[in-house]
Amino acid sequence: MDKPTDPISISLAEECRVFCRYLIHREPNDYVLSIYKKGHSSPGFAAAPPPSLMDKMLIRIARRHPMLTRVADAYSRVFFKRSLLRRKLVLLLAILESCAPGHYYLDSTDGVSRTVFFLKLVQHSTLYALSLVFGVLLFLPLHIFTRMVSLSPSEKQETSSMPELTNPLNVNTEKHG
Amino acid sequence: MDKIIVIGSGASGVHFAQSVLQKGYRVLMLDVGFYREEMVNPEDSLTDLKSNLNDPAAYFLGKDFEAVIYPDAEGEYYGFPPSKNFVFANLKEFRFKSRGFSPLFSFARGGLAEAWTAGSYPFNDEELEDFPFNYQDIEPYYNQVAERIGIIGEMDDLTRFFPVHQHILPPLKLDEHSRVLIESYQRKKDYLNNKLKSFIGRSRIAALSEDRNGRKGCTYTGRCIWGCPTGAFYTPSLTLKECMSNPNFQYLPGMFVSHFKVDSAGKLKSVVARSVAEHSTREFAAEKFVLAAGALPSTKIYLDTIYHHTGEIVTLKGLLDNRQILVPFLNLKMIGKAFNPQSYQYHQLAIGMETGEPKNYIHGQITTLKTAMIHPIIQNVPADLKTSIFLFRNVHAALGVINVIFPDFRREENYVTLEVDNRNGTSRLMINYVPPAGEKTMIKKTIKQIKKVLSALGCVVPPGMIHIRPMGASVHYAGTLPMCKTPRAHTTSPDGQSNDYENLYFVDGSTYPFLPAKNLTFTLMANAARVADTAF
Repeated sequence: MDKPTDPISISLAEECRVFCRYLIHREPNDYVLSIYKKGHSSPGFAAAPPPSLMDKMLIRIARRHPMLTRVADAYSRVFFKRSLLRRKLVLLLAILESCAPGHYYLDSTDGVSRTVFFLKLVQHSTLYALSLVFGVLLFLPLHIFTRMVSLSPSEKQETSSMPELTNPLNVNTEKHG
Repeated sequence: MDKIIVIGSGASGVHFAQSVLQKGYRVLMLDVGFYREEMVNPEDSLTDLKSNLNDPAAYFLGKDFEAVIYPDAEGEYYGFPPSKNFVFANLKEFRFKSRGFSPLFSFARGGLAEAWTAGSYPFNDEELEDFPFNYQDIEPYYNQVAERIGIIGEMDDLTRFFPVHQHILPPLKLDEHSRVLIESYQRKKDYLNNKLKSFIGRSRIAALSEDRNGRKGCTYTGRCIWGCPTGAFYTPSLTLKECMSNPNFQYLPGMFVSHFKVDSAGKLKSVVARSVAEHSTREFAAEKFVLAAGALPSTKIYLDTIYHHTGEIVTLKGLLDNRQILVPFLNLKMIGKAFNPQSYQYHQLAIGMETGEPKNYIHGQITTLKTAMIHPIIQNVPADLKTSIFLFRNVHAALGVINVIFPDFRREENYVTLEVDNRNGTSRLMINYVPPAGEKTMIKKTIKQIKKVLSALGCVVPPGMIHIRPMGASVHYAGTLPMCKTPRAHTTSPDGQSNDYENLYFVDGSTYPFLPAKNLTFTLMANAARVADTAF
């Protein structure tokens, strides 16, 4: 497969490598790299609102190292679920579960006893909590600042919209076809 | 023999057609007929596909990545893979507007059941109480359809809810998680049966456990969700294929039927259809017409016919649909175990719950999680993706979901009607649905009961994960033109014959006077075979 030469492809490839190491502890192969790039021009991905300043900053930091990806991801999960970073990570996760070798990792277990599993879960949860604390320290001031500067459409949605089925018993939606 | 025009190639249409073809009738089937692409690598297992396909992402996520679920996704998640896009492909000619109801429509070859999960449960006498026939009357047709399509099951604790018809094949091998659940049930049976009035057993499924009629028995490729490559999993397109080998059968796809034309004597004389590709209108004449397009599309054709004939816009009350609740669970005994992707992918177990009133029986399908796409689940774990992936990998084999189904009764406030645009004469179907009073209480009570059942089985329900699906999500639509013994306007005879147009018959769910908490498709097929036998 030809190596990408344009700057966007190069930065997407670099980002894919870092994110892949973050998600499954290994480098992506050429197929994953090409599909990750292709996914960025798909209608579903492109349907997102234009990236906000906060989106750009999160990605700039997250793509530097898998540890920083974790910090940015932990922050996004709680404070910016609809961020471009989460979209990119979910896109990559979907690609990885669809093809070898990524799916081998995702479809396998660690093969440990229940006790070891719970100990590891505590370890992961602690690291998540620490990442979140770092994330808050690093990103919250930036987030507040960028929101004061400009409220992007994606962030407006984040604060104003409720999931469609929060209380489906009171469903009164109108559908058209 | 007369020529019959059948509209729609779904579960009802194909079984009606097969039965009348056996009697020597000539059948013309009009259908939009979107169809699926050829099965890729039919010999490969699901895991093999991920390695062997040139572009596995295109297969699993779609050419436009349409199966990727992003964090801002809204609406109901059905988990249909790209290979089943054809089932729910939109048709711009079919217009609707709904309130309190989120319908799905299919214009596919084989209809909605091309994407079903194959639960095949006969209605019992209590559930047929409002129908103009009883179990004994429809039993021969359950037998007939079971022989045609192949149904697996077992005589167990669920037999008290599901009548035992003929031709039930041995069940498939249980996946490990389902086996652990059924073993736990056996240990806690007394408590679950007597205290919680809950019974668990094997699902009845339209799939083959052994080779039969040219179809191979299940080979456990793990591809059920993406489309069974061997034909072991039944879909109506298999019966359509059989019909097509009959010289008296003509299948005409690409036709969207809008309405019938009526003669001066009040009989239907022809059907008006629009060619989807050529955008031209064609008319087809016949002696008898059969609507099998699915309850809501058939109802629209009927309403449009009345509007074209008399100018009247009719409102049909009594729309039915099953409320469904998804209760995910984690089986503590399965934590850390590996899951086997090479297993049957849909529900293998079912739960039946007595409520004191047989018609109010509550049914649940117990599906253990295996090869479904995992990114939609992982991103919803309340942690970063790294932690979520660790957690998910180690509990994957321990996850499952119970799809709880509730019955529905015909009520005045649920109706369908037409909205006509006088400028161009086009119409759209208006659907209105209001849940019954007391539904919240019933749901709350059932969830409490299900949680107790799961707890007894060694499972926990993750907090905040129970999902009440919107009305329309079950895709069990019925009740707009009910069968009844006394003829009334906008009803049908016990044989599905319209009480308004004597040469029009309905064989789909539109004629159900009641909707029990069971998958309705098996009864749709049996009833279509019954109408073909008794009215033709």
